[in-house]
Amino acid sequence: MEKFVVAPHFRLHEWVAEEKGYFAAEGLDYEFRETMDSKASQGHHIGNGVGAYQTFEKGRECNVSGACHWTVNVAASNGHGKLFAECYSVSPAGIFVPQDSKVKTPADLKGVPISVGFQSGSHYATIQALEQYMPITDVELSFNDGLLFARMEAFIDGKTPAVSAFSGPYYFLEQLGYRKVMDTTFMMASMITGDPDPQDVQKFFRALRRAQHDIDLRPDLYTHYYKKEFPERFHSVMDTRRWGPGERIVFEPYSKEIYDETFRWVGEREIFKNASMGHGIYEEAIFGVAAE
Amino acid sequence: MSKLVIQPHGRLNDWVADEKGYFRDLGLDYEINLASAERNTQTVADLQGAGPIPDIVAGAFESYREGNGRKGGDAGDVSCACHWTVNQAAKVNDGIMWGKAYSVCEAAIVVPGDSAVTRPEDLAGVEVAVGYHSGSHYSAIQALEVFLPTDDIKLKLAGTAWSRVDSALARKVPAANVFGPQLYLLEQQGFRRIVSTTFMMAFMFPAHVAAQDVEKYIQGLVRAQSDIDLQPERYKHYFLKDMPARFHSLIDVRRFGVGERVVPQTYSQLIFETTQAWMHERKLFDVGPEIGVSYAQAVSH
Repeated sequence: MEKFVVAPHFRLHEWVAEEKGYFAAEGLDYEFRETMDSKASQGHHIGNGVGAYQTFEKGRECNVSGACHWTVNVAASNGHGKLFAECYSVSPAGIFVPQDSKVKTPADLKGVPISVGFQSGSHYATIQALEQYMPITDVELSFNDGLLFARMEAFIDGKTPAVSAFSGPYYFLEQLGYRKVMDTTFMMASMITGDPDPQDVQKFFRALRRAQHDIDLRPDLYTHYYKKEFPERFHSVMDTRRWGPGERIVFEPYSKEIYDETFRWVGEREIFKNASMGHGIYEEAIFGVAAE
Repeated sequence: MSKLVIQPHGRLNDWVADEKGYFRDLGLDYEINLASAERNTQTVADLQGAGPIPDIVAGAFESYREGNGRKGGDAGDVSCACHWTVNQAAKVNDGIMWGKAYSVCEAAIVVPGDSAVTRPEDLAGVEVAVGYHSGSHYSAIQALEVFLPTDDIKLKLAGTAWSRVDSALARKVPAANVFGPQLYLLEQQGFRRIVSTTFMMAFMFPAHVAAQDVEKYIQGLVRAQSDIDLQPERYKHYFLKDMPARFHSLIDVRRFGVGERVVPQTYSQLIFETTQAWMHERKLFDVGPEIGVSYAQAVSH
């Protein structure tokens, strides 16, 4: 039997489950393998205009990984893996600016480049949040800074005026005194790639469910695990004891209704060329029990 | 059959479920008792006076005692409070804790933007506004004891959640522990987060209320959670429903986070007993863990 390969997603669950022996208790033979190197911020700079979706196109070398639900939705529609439909996750996220920025309200962000990851959660979430305030044509997104940690580093180094960040980086920017202009909390989903034993997939998520309980009860005991996937440059400054629990896994279905609504939302905003949206058929896109 | 009277808790789920007809779909006859949500405990005179605000030595736990499982004499049949208080109230048989779901809410200790406090360690000896025997009380201890010896943690019993907002805005307290919409409001007013105090909450109902109705209610909330998760922007305006009108002109709820979320997972015996031990180690109640009923009697499944 081959090992079940897990790509962690900058959240606490995998590490809590490992610490507590939940994977072992399930009899899961596994290994962790990052999709991108998080030890250095530039590990998350995989090219201008290259984001989470493109990593699915290229092929992820794991059996389970996470990304925003919009990207997983469309990637699964294009056959780049199967969306695990028995749960999803949610993470606090926000658009940040420096303390002394002239940007005070979301409307002030008109024409200000906001650093997001191309076809990654920050891309869609920023549009979803800001289209309440301005036409989508006035939302200026910058795709030049890579993914999460690369964008965070560029922002801290003063190279970008605004950044969208979630989970650990969200708390880190707060700790450093950056100002959150607005919340952009968003959904994520898990993608199954390769040909894992379905029983292994179930074992994996049962272990994460147990870890979620532990995190809910005593988040303060586990926030140190953010350091497991965070650029080493910042470790000495980070005080993870101040941070919140970040991404949480919701053990409710990613239903056909959610899938269809999301597929439509992405299509309407022309985030992908129409021809590259894929079949959009829920039953073919998902792994696990189809949910109504 | 009587109506199930719902006491809202400042979250979006109740209003989304109401809007979408989820409670009705489940056959629940209900009403939402909004009046009880705006209860306040600091007077204008207290807030505008030169002296310190008084301590309010009563909170959610005492409300459950007063209401025999309702959160106050005039409150709803089903309500929500932090899991510590609901746990202990159920333990001493003041009401029944719902065991098939709990909730979690983003919370934090915040200070004004110009405060000298920049780290949790700076809160040594600094009053932090909390509600007695309420989520902010326990969660402040849980978060701060990571940084400070117990003697250096100084809590100010400032009353209900909105009272703490009043006290913070009036600069009657140097720091406040707040959750959900109260947290987002103070952030928009320039307050800074010093430490996350995100914590669990639980549902409670009096023994005579039909558990089947509570189950339908929770199912409605869970269904609404998916809607909120998918497109929170559609529903954040509902934060205004439970927010006293005096705050409305101060805030733009479109900038808020999603607040409290309902988690359809079990509040297990292990969690119940671990929490009992945590509270009694810190001697937070007059009675010890030997007083009260078992998990099976305290928690409805």
